[in-house]
Amino acid sequence: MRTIVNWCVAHRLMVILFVVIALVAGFVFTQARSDPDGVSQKDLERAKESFKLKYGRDANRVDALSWLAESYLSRGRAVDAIQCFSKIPTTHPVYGHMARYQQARALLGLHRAVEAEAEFRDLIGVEDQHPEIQAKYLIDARQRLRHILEVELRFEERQQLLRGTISRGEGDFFEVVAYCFPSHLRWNGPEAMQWIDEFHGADADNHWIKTALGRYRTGQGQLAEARKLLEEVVHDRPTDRWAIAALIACLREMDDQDELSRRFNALPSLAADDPWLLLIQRGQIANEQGRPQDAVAAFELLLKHDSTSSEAWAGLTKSYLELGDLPRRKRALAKSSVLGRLQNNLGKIFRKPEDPDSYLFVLDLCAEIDLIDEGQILSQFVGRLAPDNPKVIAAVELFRQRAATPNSSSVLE
Amino acid sequence: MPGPVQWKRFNGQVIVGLVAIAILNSGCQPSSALQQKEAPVPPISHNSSATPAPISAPAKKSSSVPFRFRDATSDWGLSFTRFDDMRGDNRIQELLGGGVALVDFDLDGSLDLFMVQGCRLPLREKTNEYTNEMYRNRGRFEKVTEVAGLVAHGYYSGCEAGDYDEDGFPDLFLSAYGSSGLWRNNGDGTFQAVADGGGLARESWTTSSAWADFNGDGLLDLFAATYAKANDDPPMICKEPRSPTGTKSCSPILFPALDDFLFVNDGHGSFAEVTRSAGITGLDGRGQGTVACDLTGDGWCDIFVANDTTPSFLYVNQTGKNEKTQISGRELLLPQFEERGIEFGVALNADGKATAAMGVGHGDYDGDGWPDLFITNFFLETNTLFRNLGGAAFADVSNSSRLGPPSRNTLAFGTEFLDVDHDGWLDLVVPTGHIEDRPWSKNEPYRMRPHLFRNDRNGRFTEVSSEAGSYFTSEWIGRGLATGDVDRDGDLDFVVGNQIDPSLLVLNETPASGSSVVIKPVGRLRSPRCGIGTRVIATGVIPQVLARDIAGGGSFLSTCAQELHCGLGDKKSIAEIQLLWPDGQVDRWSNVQAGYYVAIEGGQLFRIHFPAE
Repeated sequence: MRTIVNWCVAHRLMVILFVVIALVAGFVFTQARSDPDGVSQKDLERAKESFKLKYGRDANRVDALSWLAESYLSRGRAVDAIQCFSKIPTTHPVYGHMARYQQARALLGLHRAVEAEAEFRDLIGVEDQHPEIQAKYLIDARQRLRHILEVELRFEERQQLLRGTISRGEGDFFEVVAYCFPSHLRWNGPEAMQWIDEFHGADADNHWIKTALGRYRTGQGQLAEARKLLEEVVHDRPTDRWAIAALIACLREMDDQDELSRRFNALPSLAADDPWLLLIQRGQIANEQGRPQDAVAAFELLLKHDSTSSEAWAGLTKSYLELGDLPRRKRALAKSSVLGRLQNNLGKIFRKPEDPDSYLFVLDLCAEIDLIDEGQILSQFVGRLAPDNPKVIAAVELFRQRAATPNSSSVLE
Repeated sequence: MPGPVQWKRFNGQVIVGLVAIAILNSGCQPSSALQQKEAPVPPISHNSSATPAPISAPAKKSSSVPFRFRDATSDWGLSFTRFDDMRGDNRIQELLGGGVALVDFDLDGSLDLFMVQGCRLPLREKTNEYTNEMYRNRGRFEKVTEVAGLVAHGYYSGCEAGDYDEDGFPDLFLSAYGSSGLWRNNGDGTFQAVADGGGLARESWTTSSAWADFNGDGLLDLFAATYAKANDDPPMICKEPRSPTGTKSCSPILFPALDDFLFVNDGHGSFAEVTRSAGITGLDGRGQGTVACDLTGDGWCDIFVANDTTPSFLYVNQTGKNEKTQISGRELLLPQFEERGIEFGVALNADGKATAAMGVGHGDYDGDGWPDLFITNFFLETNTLFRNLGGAAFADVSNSSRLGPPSRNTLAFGTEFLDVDHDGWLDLVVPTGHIEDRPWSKNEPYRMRPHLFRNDRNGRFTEVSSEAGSYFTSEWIGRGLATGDVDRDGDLDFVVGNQIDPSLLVLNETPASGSSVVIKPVGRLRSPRCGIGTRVIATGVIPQVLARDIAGGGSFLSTCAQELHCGLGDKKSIAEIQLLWPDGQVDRWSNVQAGYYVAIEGGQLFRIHFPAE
């Protein structure tokens, strides 16, 4: 009997002990683990204390989130920082914009390009309604967004972004060159490949990233892998012209004529908003198939977006020859020839961006083939760089005059 | 020490000694010698429209033999390592390496080997440690540099062999960073440096060069491509924080391009520079590879120059339109060229982009009778195959030929077409290797595996490197390349100059799927004796015409054997060969038997059985 009583007491004690342990563990867990928003309550409380010590007032929740996020960033805990920033609405009058900016930067640092792009766009999207946002953050946000678009080979969108940048007079030398000569900068270098691999590691299913990765793989000669990636995207998104264009480019490198014909014949008609790569493919394939008029249509459309496209001008030299249009061929040959030298000279700007002479070489070439808009933008940029340089002043004036009198000095028309 | 080289004179003219021993005319006679330069004919009779003729119907090799090559460097006693002063300064001069020449300098019928050497930089610190080397072929290579009088110290780039003085013995032009020079072959196994290079010497940076008769006077003129104006003391340094040395080589665009040179032979052992007056005025070209041959089918020798990162040049020969003028007391036509690379479609690739264009191979890969061009390029660019569309234009067929995509992850300099298995179709060898070690750049190796491509006879190529022997399955830093039948067994071997590693002799040991003839044309009267500019057309051997040229220049900084190798497939003879001499004359021969090395001179054909067969 006594044994039974002792057992019951022991049992009750065990249960009580279990409950106590569970309660303690639950308390510790809730303190240490995230709150329902995914942010550690304990850290948040500490942040409030720290904030109060620093600023002498009680921190509200957003104060604490922002303070904690900055603290995480300084300690390299980007994931936790992003979690905190994400709880701060863009509309918050004090922290909203910086939270978006910081969150996007942290996301990009983790190569989470899709999320970073969304946050950068969120911030940039409200700039008109919020003049209080400091320009330097907006400029930086646009530069980082531009970087994402470049790595993902979304040159059409980059051009739109740069148009705004240039019109505001904000562009640095890279942006000015990228805007004026969008297809003349090498895109498949080792650094860009590393970026896209990392973007892909973070967002393996994103169609932009997969399409870009397919293009990079094509550019690396890894055609089987490229084709697989691109076929997956096209399978999931059968009307995605960017992916189709990339797949066609890959099939051309593989010289898989049957599949190429099948894909090419299934394309919708030429459209003004066709991706640039698709316009190149349309033009080159039309030339190969003996349809120079169709090639001209595609290349001329491309030139409306990118008047310095070497692919377009080189293609037009063939199209016009087939059409017997020798004056236009002569013009295309001259453009092609100068653009062939332009690439090399652009490299000089990248290596010596502070040297006005680097730009003057390029401006000479622009003048030679009537790239008036490009010459004007570039000369104005270098005019800001070296306002007292007589050669620069002359170049600015030359392009100003030529822009004011269209075609008056054209040697090619 | 080898004794004096043996040679013979035959009817007052030098004939290949070995061949002269065994004159076997066997009924072969020339049937005509009539074509005049004033009425040029295309290389062969065909449609010269810009529309490409269809390549013969797909005929994937049903009886393809595996390509086999053997590294015979040590067996043959070749021991040469080029010295490029790579001590961490990353001078741009160090990157290009040096050339190789396969040339029968002693006219014993065997191809000897000249290797081009570098030196310590800056040039003012050069020592006598390193010299160019000449190896005489006596079944294995014997170094004869000293006895041949070829010891020279400098930062030499390339070697172009050609008999500029028409004495029958090939002379050597050596391009260099610093002073280029001319070495005259004395005909007794020795050479003599010609004072002032006979007018060719320039303090510049000459790279590839090409001997050819550009003005139709029967004498070799010289085109010398130049790279860029670059100091070596102090060198331009470009920072690269990720590099172990903190630096990397500077981009070529930072070095101003130099003007190329054209020299005309005055017939008295000297040369006059005619660069500008001849229209060699291409802009902004850092020349690397060059080849001189008739690309347009008008009977005049044109010049292609592969330029680094800017449009390549095609100088179309217009000399026929010129009036004669007096040079050194001789009345001759001044060479005249027009740069038309863009118009002909060889200046840029299909995307309108200038590439790093390094070496250039030439040959009629598609059997349409027109010489095509293959250009090697930089890492992540594709090499470019330009198909000659009837002498009026070229088409970039890099993708459809399948030569482009496999080259994306390689970087190459020297290259050449060669018919490995004697099936009559030109295959392609491409040594590879980066310009410098870039450990900071992912997947961008310094050493690379060379490429060997089999011609599938339908306009396409298949890479067969992995089956072709240890050279092709190992990694190297390849630069200059020269092809030729080194062991005289009737097939084409090659020598490749590497950086850092020893240079290699690689012998073709492909089981013969067919027979072959190697033809050595010896020019007379108004055609250069060394055969440059000569073209052979063989008929009745394979389904289409087989055309081979001896060009000036080619590959990269190197001289390939100035012989015409004709693979005959399963035929035992050539029904007819036509030899088109640079002066417009045509010799025709019928029933030329396979299995011979054949020298043709003065309307006579001399042949000797391949000893190794």
